[in-house]
Amino acid sequence: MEKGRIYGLLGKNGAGKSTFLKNLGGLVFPSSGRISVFGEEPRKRRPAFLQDIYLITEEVYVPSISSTQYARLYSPFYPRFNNQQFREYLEKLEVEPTGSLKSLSFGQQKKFIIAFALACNTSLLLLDEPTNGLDIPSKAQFRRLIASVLTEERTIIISTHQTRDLENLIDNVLILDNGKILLHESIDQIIHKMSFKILKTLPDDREVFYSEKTLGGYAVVSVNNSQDEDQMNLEQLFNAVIEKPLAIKQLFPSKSSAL
Amino acid sequence: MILGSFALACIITVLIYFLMKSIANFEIAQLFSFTIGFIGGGGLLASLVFAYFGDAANGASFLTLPASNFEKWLCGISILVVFILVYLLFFRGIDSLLVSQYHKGLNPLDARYRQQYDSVFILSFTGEAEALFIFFANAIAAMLVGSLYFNKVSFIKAALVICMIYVLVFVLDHMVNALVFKDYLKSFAFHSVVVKNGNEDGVVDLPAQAKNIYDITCTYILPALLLGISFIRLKEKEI
Repeated sequence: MEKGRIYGLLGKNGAGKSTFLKNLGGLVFPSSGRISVFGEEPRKRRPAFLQDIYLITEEVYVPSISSTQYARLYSPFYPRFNNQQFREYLEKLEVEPTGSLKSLSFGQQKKFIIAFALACNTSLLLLDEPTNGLDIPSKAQFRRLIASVLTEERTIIISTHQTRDLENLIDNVLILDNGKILLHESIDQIIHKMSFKILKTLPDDREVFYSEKTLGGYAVVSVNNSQDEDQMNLEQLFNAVIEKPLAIKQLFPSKSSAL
Repeated sequence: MILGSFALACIITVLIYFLMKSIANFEIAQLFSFTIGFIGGGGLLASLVFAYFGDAANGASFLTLPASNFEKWLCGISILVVFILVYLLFFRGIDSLLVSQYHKGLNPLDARYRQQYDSVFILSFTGEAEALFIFFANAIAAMLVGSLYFNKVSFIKAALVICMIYVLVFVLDHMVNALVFKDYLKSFAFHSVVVKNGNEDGVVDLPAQAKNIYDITCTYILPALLLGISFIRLKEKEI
């Protein structure tokens, strides 16, 4: 994985998305093999390593203290924490924590933790289903904020099965199934090699990876034989990869491997 | 929750102290309330300090906090050390207050004044209470280990396991002694065996060397081993 990128981690329920993120964060240990993040083994949970990553799990935890107390208590653990950014992100996500954090709704608690995690300025940010529990305006705020905080030195991995939340946000896709990477590719490469079209009739073509009936005809995912690049549909891409994993592997042979 | 269990241990101590004082006497009230409050409260606290690591959201938050595993473990141990100090001070305070009130309430002109005065004194933390401290050290170390093995209701599960081990030791001790001693009557595990000797009961004590090994094991080795296991378990904790 490269720095300065946002990776979208997709997979069916039980595919291993959360386990993958937990492995990177040192919360779960690999049963075989070795994981290396920034040259460190996450399972050792060394403070220097933990200072440089932030993992937001699907269920977040906030103690019964105020926002200011939280920042005062936890920020010293993260040397690059920026309090001004923290306030700014809270404002962008429209979180106004007054009183105990426990009194906030689940969505507000989640946005609070997202703002804190971003303000920690860690090199690796792992987000497991970050948009679960967020309302529609909050999802848009989240996308805008994530896009604005990406720097050359930061890598963000977002796991979700709500593909629409990641559209126009990610620049790399990782699709997992049964603990195996089915696709690990940049969006640029995907739209260069695959086409996403709405066609009046269903083509009888071996190069079709996926198709579904839509109002205007058929949504078809196939090999891109032209120089044109279509707007990628993440949901259709996901379905194509799940339905035709071998054909996709032939199209993108280099990075697919077992986890 | 941690402050709540501190408070609960203190409240239960006071309630039991007053209850036992009214139905029995000072000595029983002191020993009973101290045993329940100190070991019960300490055990409850020990099962709570690492219980956060068992929950997915809490556990992820604490385990990924940039501090070493040893520091996280030491935090839990420090909370228990604070509990010990606070509880002992609290108990000594309550005990001194009630004992002095009792002494003040006595009539100095009463013929039995001296006898009544000397019959009640504050509970000493040495002597008989030392056995309680050893039991406390083993119990809380076992509860710490239990809280890291059991993710839900660790207090009850760990307490059940400890009770089962005690019952097992009792039953095994009884069975072995019944096989070894011909006129076996009863036994106290790792202490003595009572056998029938003609018309009298004879006591066979544990040999001094074996008793020494047992004392050292219970006082130092077992608590240290359990604390060490709790640290390793925390280090290897997965969520």
